[in-house]
Amino acid sequence: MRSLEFNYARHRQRDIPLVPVSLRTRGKWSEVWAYADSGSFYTLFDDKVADLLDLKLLEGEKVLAVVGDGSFIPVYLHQVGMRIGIDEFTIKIGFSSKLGVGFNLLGMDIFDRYRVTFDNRSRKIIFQSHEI
Amino acid sequence: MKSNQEWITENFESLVSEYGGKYIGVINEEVIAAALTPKTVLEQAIRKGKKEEDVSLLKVPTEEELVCVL
Repeated sequence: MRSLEFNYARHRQRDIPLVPVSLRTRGKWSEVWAYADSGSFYTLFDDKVADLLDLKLLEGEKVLAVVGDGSFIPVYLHQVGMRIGIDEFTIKIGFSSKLGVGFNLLGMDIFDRYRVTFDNRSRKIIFQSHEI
Repeated sequence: MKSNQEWITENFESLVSEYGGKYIGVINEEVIAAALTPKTVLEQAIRKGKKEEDVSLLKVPTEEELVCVL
């Protein structure tokens, strides 16, 4: 089992689980950071990242996602190549211009691929891959 | 020299203070560009002679966003 560990960032005495992931863009990889959010069903990035990846936002599959205040926002799903550590895979990422939070979000669809531990005592988030 | 990952997590609080609301690009313990979009950050980095794939892109939240989200 492979293990990837990422130290928490901190802000005003609070721990923030930020993870660098790489997204495939125009045949290259770009590293973009995201907040590991176990409360998010989808992995969600703002529409500016879709632009970075040269995706046509509105050509994605449209779904509605509920956000913190209970309102619905339009999200467009696109297949994107992603790399975490040395793991490469393709995943549907939701992009939205209405995300309204300060982070891009890694959601439960990523967590399905790993055993994810929020180790608050060590202030680390740990991704364990089931692949050998 | 620290990795981009180490440097960003260790300096996150000051990054929020200085760049909240923007995307930044980090290479070798240095913010090499800041802009409202990651594409602009990469364009600025390339103009400075940096390799696109070496840039670590972070959407930096504002203080207010951190209060609301967390």
